[in-house]
This record gives sequence, C-alpha cells and structure tokens, in this order.
Amino acid sequence: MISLLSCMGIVIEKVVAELLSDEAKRRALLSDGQSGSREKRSALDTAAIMVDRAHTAWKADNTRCILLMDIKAALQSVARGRLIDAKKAKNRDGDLIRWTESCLSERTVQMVIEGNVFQSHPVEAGVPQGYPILPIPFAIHTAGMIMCVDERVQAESLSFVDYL
Amino acid sequence: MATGKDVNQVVEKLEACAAESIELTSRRDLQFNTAKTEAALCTRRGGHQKHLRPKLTAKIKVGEGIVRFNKQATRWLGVWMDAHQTFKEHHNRCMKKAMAVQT
Repeated sequence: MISLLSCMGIVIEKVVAELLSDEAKRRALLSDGQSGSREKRSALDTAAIMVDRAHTAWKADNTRCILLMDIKAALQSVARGRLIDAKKAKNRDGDLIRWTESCLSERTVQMVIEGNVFQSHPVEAGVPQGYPILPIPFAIHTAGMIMCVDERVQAESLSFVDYL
Repeated sequence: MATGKDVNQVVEKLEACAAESIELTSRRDLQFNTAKTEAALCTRRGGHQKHLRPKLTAKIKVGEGIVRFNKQATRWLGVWMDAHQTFKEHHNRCMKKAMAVQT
C-alpha cells in the first residue's frame, strides 16, 4: 500500500526520522551491516563492502560465498504491536515510541475506483510504504535478527532496506 | 556472507545461516521470498582456486528448497557481480544501456 502524505506530514516525518536515526546511532541499535536507511550508507557502499570481504578472503586463500535472501513484502508484513514492543524492549526514548505508535494507529484504507468510493476498513498490520520515517523502525526491528545470525553462525550479514 | 577453507565448509555455514534467518524472521511475522533467494561463489581469477569451479554444482538447503550457485553474474543492489569480482558484466550492461540512449 503506497500512502500519500501531506507536505507538512512529510516534513514532520523527516524530522522524526532524523531523530530516530540519531538515537539508533547513539545507542548502537543497528548492526554494522545494515544500510539503506542510514546516513552515508548507500547501496554502492554495501556492494563495496562485499567486494572488500571477498578480496580479504582470497588473500588468506579462503573461499567466500554469498547467499542473497529477500524479505517478502517486508513493510506490509510488520505487526505494529511487535514493532512497538521491540522498540520498548530496547529502552528507546518514550516520546519517539509514542510518536511511532500514534503514527501507525487508527489507520484505514479506502478504495476509489472510477469515482466509486468504497467503504473504509481498518488496517491492523503493516507499515505504509511512502512514510519517510518507516525504514528506520523496520531496520531496528530486524537488527536483533541480523546480529543473532552473525553471532551464531560466524557469518557476516549485510542488509539493505530497499524501500522505494 | 560466509568464509571457509573449502566450498563444503562454506555451504554448511550458509545453510545454518539460512535456517537461523528463517526461524528468526518467522518470530517477527516476516518471511523470505524463496523465489528470490540466490547464491554466488566468489572465486579468484585463475591460479589457486581453479579447483573450485566444479563446486558450482554444490547445493544449499534453504528452508524447504535447494539453491545452487549462480553460474552467471548476480545482480545485487543494482550491481552485477561476477564470480571474480571484475565487474565486467556490470560495465558491459551499463555501456549497452548508454549506447541504446545514444542511438
């Protein structure tokens, strides 16, 4: 679902997105391998890291393999409650949690096809594509998973929120 | 990404990695798109790792499915990466696009 926001809404979200990003950096809430919703970490930087790791492995006469996995309908599948719980568990700033909770609450979807307006329905799950703020909470939501995999399997995970 | 002394060791790590990832994503109400799962082997050009070429047939168990290493370049984040990381494939595709615009 692509959401259209008012200009003022976008400005406010951009400000909150920066605050969330700063807090994630300050509290080390994201894994080193996460990019895509972070400042100065582009897709090319991520690809460059992968190439660098391959060259490092070759120098030690090791073999390097990569497995590429894609999370299906990532933003649409996120359960709001779990996203907020994950943030609370990480002892995040209370105002930012409340703001995000409010942003995701009481959302409805209504379709208009050829001038016919259909009944609106509440949306309980998913975070709407088009909200500038949402890649960062999603990255925080998946950070624990990435760190856990790296620790247990002795692999290195790179993740990129391919948002738009 | 995983590193090891040989392909079998790396395949084991990747399988463990996939199993952990699938388990942890399901706990977060998320799932992977199995149709988009790909694997690539990074091999040094010529010399030491020529013996790895037959290993391209190795199978990686990901969830209920099996994934094999790509024999051609792999597209990731808009970049075409070939096994030797030469980026020739990426360069060729970019040039092809540029030439198409020019004509």
